Amino acid sequence: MRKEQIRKVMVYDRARDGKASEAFHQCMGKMQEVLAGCDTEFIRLVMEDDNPLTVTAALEAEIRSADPDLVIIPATALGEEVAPALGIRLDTGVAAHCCDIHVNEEGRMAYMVPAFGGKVIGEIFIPDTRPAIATVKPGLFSCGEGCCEGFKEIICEPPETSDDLVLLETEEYEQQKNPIDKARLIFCGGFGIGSEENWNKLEQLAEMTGGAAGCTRPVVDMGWGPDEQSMIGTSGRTVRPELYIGFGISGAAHHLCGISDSGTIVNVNNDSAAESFPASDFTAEADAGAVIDSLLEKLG
Amino acid sequence: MNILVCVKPVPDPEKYGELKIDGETKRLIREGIPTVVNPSDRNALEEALRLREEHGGKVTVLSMAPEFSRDKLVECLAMGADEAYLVSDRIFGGADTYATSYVLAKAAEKLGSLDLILMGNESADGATAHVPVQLAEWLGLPHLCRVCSVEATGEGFRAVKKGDEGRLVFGIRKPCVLAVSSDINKPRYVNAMGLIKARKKPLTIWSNEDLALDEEKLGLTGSPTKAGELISPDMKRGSESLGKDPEEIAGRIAELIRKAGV
Repeated sequence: MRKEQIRKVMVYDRARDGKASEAFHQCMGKMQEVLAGCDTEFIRLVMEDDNPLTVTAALEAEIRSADPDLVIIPATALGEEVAPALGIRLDTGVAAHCCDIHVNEEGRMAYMVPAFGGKVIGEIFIPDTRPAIATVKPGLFSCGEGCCEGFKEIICEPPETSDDLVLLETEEYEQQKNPIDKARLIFCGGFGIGSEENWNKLEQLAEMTGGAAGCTRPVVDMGWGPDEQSMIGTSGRTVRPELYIGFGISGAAHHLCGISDSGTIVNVNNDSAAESFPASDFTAEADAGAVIDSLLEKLG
Repeated sequence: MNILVCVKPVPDPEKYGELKIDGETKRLIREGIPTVVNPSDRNALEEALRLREEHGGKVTVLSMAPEFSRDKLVECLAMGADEAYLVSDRIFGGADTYATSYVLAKAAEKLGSLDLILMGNESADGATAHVPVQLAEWLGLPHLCRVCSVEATGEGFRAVKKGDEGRLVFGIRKPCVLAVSSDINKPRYVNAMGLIKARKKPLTIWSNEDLALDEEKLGLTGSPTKAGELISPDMKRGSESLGKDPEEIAGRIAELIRKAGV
């Protein structure tokens, strides 16, 4: 699809109580940037619901009626289910979890999609089908609230109710004191921190400094304390702190990808062959626990 | 309960750090990286086995893969599945999720009536998380992803999804497709007894001759998304050493924290 052929772009917003989500602002801002100078109509599609079947049906109706060239959906837990479903209903291609969307040298729309845990990024095209659909990982594009106007709004009609999939209850997650995706200082624990005790110390360090504590999947799985809201990586959160300090992080591709926009990266690991080291600004071959204790002392 | 588990053989995720792109051909160099059953598909199979243990029935495993991946299906039989189907044909090659889910759906239709289709939420390699949803859509079935808990009920299942703001408890009618997250259970190990039993279980290989699918909808031809270049993002940074003494290191880190002014 060429840039000039994109006359109409719809961006989905789950919204909450009428308030637009950040992910929506990020996506809309990005697309307006990519298509700057083109005479494109931008539309914000709102459907406040967590039932993927409901949202899919509602969006399908609006898309069929409006006939856009491109539909962007934030790759949230909801968006991840809605987008591929629309792909089948509308017989079109869906580019998943894009980390970038741009016009390439030949003037074609290219969707950059990470694979193999983020070790490799693939360029995807959706040449022949319409609308092209792309989901975008929240947090990857930065766009403040005021940075994009110039779009119409459509509040989707709720579709006919179906009892194929019914939302019975919602249990909200505990609110994070300092959400990791906004944190400017992150202390991150990997499998090498070895214990719940050390996780608690990282949380202490975070509290003392106004930073946040993050982790990798093994720490969640071991039950040392954090849940997935603190997990950093391509299947968890993407973060961009000024300063990231990793303890006992081996450096799996998907984690490195999740922190690659950090200002300064420091890694402490007793294994100097850790893959996190070449991707760090500063490295320290030492026991994570010992450094954590010393740091607590110095900052206390 | 008649359960189908779709599995995908993938290059071992533990080794993705070693992947390189060939400078000349620009293709991914996968040689030397062993193939495993996609980790969250093993969670799906484990969940199927638990449901069979509780409710009785049959667990069938299905995969669309090259023929040499047959041993991955044997592994699944050894884990406890009752029968396996491998759908394999050159013409399926290069398929994106649209074309892949189409083939899986057509194969699933040949398997008789199902109560539930389980799969891992995403594959370790492509990680689009599309196939479970798209498979459901082809079959006209309801679906739910990121499922961390499943219970059978009268009309179907009570499934908990890890949503964006909280856990969402859904009632879903059967038959349906549930895509499970890796924290739903701990998959059992394959043991020697399992491998011995596996040899006696039916493993059927289907090509497009058996499925008779329209070639226009298959493989690269049938894929609405097309792949272009591959890039290996450069994450290399300075790697300046802070030394090996914990006290010294902590001192330098404290300094960095102060300098960052957060």
